[in-house]
Amino acid sequence: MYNPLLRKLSRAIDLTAEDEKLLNEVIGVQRGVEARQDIIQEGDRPEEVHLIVQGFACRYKLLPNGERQIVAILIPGDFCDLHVAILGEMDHGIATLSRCKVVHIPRKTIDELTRNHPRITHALWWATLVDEGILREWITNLGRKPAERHIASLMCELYLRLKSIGLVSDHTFELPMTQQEVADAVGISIVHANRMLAELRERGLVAFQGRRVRITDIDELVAFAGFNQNYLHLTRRNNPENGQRIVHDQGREQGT
Amino acid sequence: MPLYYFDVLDGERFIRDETGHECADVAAIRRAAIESLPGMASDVMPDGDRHSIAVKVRDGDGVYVYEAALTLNAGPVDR
Repeated sequence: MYNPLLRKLSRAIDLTAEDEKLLNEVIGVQRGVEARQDIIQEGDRPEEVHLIVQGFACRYKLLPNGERQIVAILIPGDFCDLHVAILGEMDHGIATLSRCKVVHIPRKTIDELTRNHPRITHALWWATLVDEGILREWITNLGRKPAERHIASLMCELYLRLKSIGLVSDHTFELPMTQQEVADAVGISIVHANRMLAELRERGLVAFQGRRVRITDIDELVAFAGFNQNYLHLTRRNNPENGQRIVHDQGREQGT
Repeated sequence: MPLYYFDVLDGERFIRDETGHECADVAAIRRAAIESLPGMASDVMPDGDRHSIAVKVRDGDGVYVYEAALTLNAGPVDR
């Protein structure tokens, strides 16, 4: 059985056979949700945590004038509302972008997993921290990146996230977003989004085939977008290949 | 709702809209055209002291029905 949650969490830590069995049980009962439906609304106090196992969804905030800002794109393996196991009510809504399969996990199952399975707890914590990293990147892009490079960055992000759970083949992935939804994610008008998507296509960086996107040359797209994948934390901390500077915190004793 | 096409004339560059965007009435066309201009302008300016961006809206028959433009004119004050 394809288990995107297992694929995703295995990025963070080596899970045991027992952990894997538990995570397969967690996604046992899946429910279909049609495209462009709310899974949860702002103000809801869900008793279950929702996990996307198929399709695309988004986190969004509604503004008083009815406009929408999409603040995250959720793909298979992503929790909609893990924090609601701890926080009270939803401070944003979650809606499907395509037809989705969603798993409802009772809060007590999350409690049980985190209390008794330290590797799963570590991986869930990792997933939450990565979500925060993505949010920081989105804030930076929203505030400072020209729209065309911002959209290119979004394509790089989706490419790498989908690739990490095995949903990219031949440099192509599903992208069931309308132009309005891209505009809502990038914080620009629909006419502007339409034009920028056309320019990316004209530059030969991406090709749109219906609801699929083909990345012509990921290195070129990364360079154009000014994209740095570090915020996705796809390389483990203890991997010697990730080339990070190790800091031994021994004050001034060394080197002085 | 009928589809309208929002072509953009950015300086000398013409970018034809092949996708279109649904608008209920002239007010919706006006809003979509005008609200797109500041964002597009901030992507390209400053690139000089003169720049003009226009949105020209076509209906399904290819007839232009609306136009909005934003122009930058900058320079020192003549004394």
